[in-house]
Amino acid sequence: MTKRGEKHDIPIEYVIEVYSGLLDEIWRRVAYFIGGITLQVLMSTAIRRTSLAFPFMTHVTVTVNGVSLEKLRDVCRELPKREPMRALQNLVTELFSLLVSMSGDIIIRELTPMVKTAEEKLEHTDGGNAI
Amino acid sequence: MNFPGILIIGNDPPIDTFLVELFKKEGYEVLNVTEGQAALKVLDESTVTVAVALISEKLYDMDGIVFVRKLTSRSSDMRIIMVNSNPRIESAREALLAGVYDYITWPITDTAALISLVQRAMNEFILMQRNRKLLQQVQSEVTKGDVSSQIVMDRRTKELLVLRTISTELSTIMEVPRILRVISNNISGLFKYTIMSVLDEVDNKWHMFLFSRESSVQNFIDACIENLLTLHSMFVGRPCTRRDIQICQIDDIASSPGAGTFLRTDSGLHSHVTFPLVAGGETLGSVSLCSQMKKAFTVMDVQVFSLISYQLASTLYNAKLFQHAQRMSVTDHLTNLYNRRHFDEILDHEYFRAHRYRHSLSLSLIDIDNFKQINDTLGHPSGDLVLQQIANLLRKSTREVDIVARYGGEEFALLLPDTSLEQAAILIERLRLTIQSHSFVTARHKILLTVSAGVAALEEGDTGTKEELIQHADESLLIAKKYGRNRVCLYYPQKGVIEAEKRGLKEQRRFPRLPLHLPVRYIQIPEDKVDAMVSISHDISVEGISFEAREELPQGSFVILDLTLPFKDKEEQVRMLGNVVWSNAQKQGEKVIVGARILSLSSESRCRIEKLVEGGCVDDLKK
Repeated sequence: MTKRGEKHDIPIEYVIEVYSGLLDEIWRRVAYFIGGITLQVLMSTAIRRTSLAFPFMTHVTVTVNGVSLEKLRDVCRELPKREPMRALQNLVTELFSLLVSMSGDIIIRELTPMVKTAEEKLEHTDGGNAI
Repeated sequence: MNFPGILIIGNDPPIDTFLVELFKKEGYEVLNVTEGQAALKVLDESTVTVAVALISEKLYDMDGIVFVRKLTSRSSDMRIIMVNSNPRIESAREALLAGVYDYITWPITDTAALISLVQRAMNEFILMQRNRKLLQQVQSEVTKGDVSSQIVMDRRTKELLVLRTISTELSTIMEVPRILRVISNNISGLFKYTIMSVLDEVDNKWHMFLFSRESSVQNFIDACIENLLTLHSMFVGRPCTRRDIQICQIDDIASSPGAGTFLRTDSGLHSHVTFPLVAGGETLGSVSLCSQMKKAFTVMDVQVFSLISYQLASTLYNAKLFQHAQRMSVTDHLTNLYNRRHFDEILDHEYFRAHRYRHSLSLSLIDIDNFKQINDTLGHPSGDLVLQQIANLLRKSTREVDIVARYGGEEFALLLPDTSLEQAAILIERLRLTIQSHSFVTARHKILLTVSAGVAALEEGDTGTKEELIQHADESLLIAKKYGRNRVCLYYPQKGVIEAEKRGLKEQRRFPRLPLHLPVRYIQIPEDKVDAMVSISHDISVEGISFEAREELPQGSFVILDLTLPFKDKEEQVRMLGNVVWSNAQKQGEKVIVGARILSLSSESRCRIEKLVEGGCVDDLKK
């Protein structure tokens, strides 16, 4: 078991699973306020911006109904283990930044606790098993 | 709620004592009385809430069943357990019908079961009490909520009304400023905004519309503009700066009842809600509500404004489609000039206007010389490019008021309002020269072209019909073609068709002498060999080459030109055999206009045509 705070490799499958769930939840909540079409534009923008630093993020697909990490899952197997997680963190940050730019903190107030939970989930994970 | 306890009411002290001790040991608050009246008094006065009552069948002062009925009428939640030392089926049935929770017999054989029974009864009581309290709370909230529910209901009704009004009003409007005006007018009572800004593309130009509800200082307006530009750039992924847009500021103070008309000194942009306008899979623009107030917008505002922005985007998209369809119906898709149908409509209108107000009106029909051969030799895509470039030249060379249309095929029409025949002739002659000197670019070649034009006019006070005007312009064009092309012919009502040049309208060399001095030879072909020569000339043909002849060449003779074109690169040199067909030649003084056919060319020869079109001179031929 890895000590708290010590760097450990979280399985990519697990990272994808957690972020897939998180993005689905974010989508569900935000789409309720601003609609799927606008959210699609925002998510595409966030992906575009994230891709500048993490080019493999172009494999994240977004439609009017939500985000899919399925194509990313295949690509991530070839990448350094922590890269996908950093990229996905970056994606969420970019999306939040866009939402803040769009309407201040009105929408993201609803989302912050959710992201914390997801991050804690990954933080307390050792090799895919919760500590 | 007070701590729940157990009340033991009995007339048998050993049993009562046992029960009191038993439940006290279990940690319950236990009360004990021997009479019914005393029990009722305890229930009224004790700080302990009695959850479970254990009652003997016979009390000192009343019947146990009667007492049960009294208790159940007071509290339906209290769990009553009847304890009977002389059990009978009838009394048990009667007790249960009276509302007891359970009926036990004395002596107690299983105390654990009794404790469990009381515990269960106690839990049920607590649950019932909680539920009751919750129900009361809910009821109270619902009662209190009537006011807030009404407010929410009012707000929702207003939102729905606004959305419905916007939707209805927008269904018939197709002009962007009017669309935005409808939105602005309807949302002013819904959101606490100062300026609504909308960025939209109109006729390939970006416009930012600003609808102000309050007088605002310039730096607040600037902040709103910059905010929307920044966000729009973010949405579309490319920069959109102030230089790219035209700002249309619309002051809505008068139409916004309740809106302040004072100038705020606090000019900061403190809150805004911005949405991209997305429809048909593209971001058409962006819309923003800006406020000088902090926290001017709520989640509900965001939600409703998102719906309005969807409506706006959809309407703008439809308006653009409508405008596009409207434009398509009057425009030739290849050249973007007006099409024949629309030209005819405009001609009707302009003719009527000229006739009524006794203004002059000129019409010119212009035809590209030998255009068919461009299609045949260079292909239709090259022909299309030529048409587009000619159309651009026509547009650039004419005035705003002039109407330029593709009349059909390679023929164009120019309608020149308030323009006399002589004025039109100068304009069209200038146009002809512009085209002649222009190098037309196709995918792989640069070619030179000429046009022929016919001009007719309705002069002040003329009574000719519209059809006659068209007919005269057409006749003039035919004569220009007949005279050898690349010329402008005018129709004079009294004199018929006269070439513009002959009228002294700025004489120009019809075919400019080329800077090239080609080392050419020519061989006159015996007439009996002509057919054989022509038969191999079908690969590529170019007509319209002119020569300035110093000697009169016999009509109907054929000449083979043997040209070696002086290209920069030696490898680009190509030998061309030209067959000058004199049979169509028109001799005009010293000028002879000829048709020429190139009989053979190398594989790269297409690009040489322009060089040949640039011509050769008989002077050179002689060498």
